[in-house]
Amino acid sequence: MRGLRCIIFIASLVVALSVGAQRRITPIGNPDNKPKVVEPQKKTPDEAAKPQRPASVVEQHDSQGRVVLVDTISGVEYRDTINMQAPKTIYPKFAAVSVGVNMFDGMARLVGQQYGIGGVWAELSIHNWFKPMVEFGLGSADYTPKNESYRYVSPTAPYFKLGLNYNFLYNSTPDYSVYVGLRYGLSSFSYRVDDVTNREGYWNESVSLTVPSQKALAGYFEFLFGLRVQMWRNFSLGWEVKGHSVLHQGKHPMGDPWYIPGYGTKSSIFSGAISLSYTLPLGKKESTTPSESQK
Amino acid sequence: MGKLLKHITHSLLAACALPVALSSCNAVGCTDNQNSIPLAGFYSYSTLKAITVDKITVGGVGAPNDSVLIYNGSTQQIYLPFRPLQDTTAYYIHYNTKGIDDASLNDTLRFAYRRSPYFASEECGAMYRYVVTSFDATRHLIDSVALVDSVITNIDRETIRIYFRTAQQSGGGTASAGQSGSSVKKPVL
Repeated sequence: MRGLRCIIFIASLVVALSVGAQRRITPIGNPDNKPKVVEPQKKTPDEAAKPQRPASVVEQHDSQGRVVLVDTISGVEYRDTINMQAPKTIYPKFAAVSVGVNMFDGMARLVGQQYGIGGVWAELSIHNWFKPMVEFGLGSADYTPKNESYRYVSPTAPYFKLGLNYNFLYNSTPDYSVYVGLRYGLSSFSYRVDDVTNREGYWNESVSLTVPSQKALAGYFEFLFGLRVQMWRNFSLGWEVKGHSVLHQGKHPMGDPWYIPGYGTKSSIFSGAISLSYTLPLGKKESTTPSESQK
Repeated sequence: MGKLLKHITHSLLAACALPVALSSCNAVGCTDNQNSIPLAGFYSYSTLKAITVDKITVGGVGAPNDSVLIYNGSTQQIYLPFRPLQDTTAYYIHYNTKGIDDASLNDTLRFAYRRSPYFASEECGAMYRYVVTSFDATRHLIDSVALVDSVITNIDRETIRIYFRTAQQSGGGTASAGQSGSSVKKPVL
């Protein structure tokens, strides 16, 4: 009986202890809701070498869904240039073909210029953005300076140009173009100087001489800025201001040429162009918005 | 956008003035000579440095009305224009310093050349270029003559060097024919 009592006491003590353990409640709170303390992980040497993004730099998205890293302290934004996509063009690859006539020299002759004829050009519009072009023209000079000390003559000769325009308004209406361009021009021509009168003052001797005809093959470079506006239907007017430089012209024992067809004269680093052109559209503008596509 | 297009249209109209504007950018003027004129410089044969030669008269042999380029003056350089209608040109140098002012002590320079027409530029025009084929000089006070370049163009640069016999003068005094820097020199005959 005494042994039975001892067993019952031990059993009741074990039950009491176990029940007491289940009911234990901490007044602080649920341990699951406690903030977790994360032990800093030990970095491998490779990881330590990688640049870490500072805590002040957060990742955001712009209106077009692109990732932008913003430094919240300095306010500087960093765009991911690797994943950045080129802005979408709204014109087809082969958007239009334009042909034009350069009337600059013709107009300049009206105000006294004594050189230049003109040229025709054709241009392919790629996405209304990049516009490769070719030009063919004729040039001549018959120039006498104000003191009439000589007469520079360059018979009519052809010139060719190859180039590319970059249109800044590529996603705007093709009726307007604001562009910069590059050209390489080439011309084969001849020139001579007639009726040269020269006086040697000390010896009191007057000289009349002629510089015989010389042939030249000249190549030149042009950098230009231009505007073009559609005036009526598919007809446009445009102007260009060009800075130019002779790249090669050969050697001439009796003097280098002064006028180069398509280039102008060496007296000025600038030249110009005024063109009347006709544009033939090849493709239609792609719709960009639902409302536009419904239209 | 409307404003931009308005500006573009206005600029297009303004382009009508482009030929006038660009054609007016051309006036530079001839920065070189309008004739091919050789420029001669005076040098000391002993130091090979430039000197100023005092009291000399320089004129062309056969010049109209016996006109001279410099009369009893001092100079370090002088233009010696070639005759454009002849293939030779000669100049004399007369020394006006007392003691050597005799005409028999004059030095004479003679140049033979080939003429070729040349177009220099719009502003400078066309002219003869001279290619010197031979030259000589008497040796009274002149030691020697050298050509820097045998092609005489309208570019304003020294192409002839005339070396004079000079000697270092001791104890001051006056230079009878030349000076170089701070040292005074006298001709050696």
